[in-house]
Amino acid sequence: METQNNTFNEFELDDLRQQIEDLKNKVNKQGRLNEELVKKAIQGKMRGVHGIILKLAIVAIDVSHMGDDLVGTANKLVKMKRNRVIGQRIGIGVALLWLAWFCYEYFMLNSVYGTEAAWFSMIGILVGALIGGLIGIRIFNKMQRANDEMIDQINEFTHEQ
Amino acid sequence: MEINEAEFARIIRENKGTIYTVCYMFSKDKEEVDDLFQEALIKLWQGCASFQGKSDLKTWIYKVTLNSCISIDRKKKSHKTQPLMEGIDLFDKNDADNKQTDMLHARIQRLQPFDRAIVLLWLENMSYDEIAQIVGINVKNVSVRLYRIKEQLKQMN
Repeated sequence: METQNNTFNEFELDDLRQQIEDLKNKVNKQGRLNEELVKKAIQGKMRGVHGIILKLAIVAIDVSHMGDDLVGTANKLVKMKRNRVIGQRIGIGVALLWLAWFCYEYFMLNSVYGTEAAWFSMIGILVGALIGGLIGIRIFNKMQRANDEMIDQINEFTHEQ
Repeated sequence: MEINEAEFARIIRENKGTIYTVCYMFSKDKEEVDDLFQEALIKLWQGCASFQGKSDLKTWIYKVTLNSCISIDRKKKSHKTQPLMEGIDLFDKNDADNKQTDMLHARIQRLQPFDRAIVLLWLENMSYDEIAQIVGINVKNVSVRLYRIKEQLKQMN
């Protein structure tokens, strides 16, 4: 019974080949390539000025691994993730130092009008900074999570090789 | 390799089925497939200069397209891309022809990105050597991974 099931499944797997072929034929038959837009896209004009900036940034990263194999590319993304962590740590350190200096200067300048008013303003600034920081950390964690699936697979490959 | 825009458009025209199919297998909706397709074309255009004809053109197209699909940061996408491919929507539920495609897509999507790439290359009838070269693992590893992927696909039935 098990053999029969497996045979059926093997047949189905081979059937996938035909399905992919059918899909490609369908795309070739029904899909019309807008060559004018293709030209604009490769000239980097599609998304206006922001698009060009974005594309230049993408190209600057991508050209370096254009000829790499998939694992090579993914390894570069892993390095990017590590660099992002280092960048974040440095960024948080600098931001905290700047915030401390800013609060000190602000407090010294505004305390002449009364320390109570200065404290209220400071609390407002600190709450704003805290909310900003939390949003930043959330975005950062989301970006890092996007690469995790790939890192898991690279680790699997490295273990198997 | 020196390729002008007209020559590039011809290569894309001849291989649009392959490129679009790969992008489709890495996408969750129509907007995403359009985004991936555009990014893949930009990378192919950028990579033309570095393609020296050492490998087969189709192998190179697969390599660049899969690289593009795997490395793109989807969270940065704006979903405002104008579609470069018109007249086809593989995600259209009203299209009866899409039912089989939908099932195939659902199966492939459940695999991890690298496994998705390996199975697509295998379905393309590429040799283990070619798959190993594109993915960057050894031939033995390709055969082990493929065995596991096939088992996974069977479980999905």
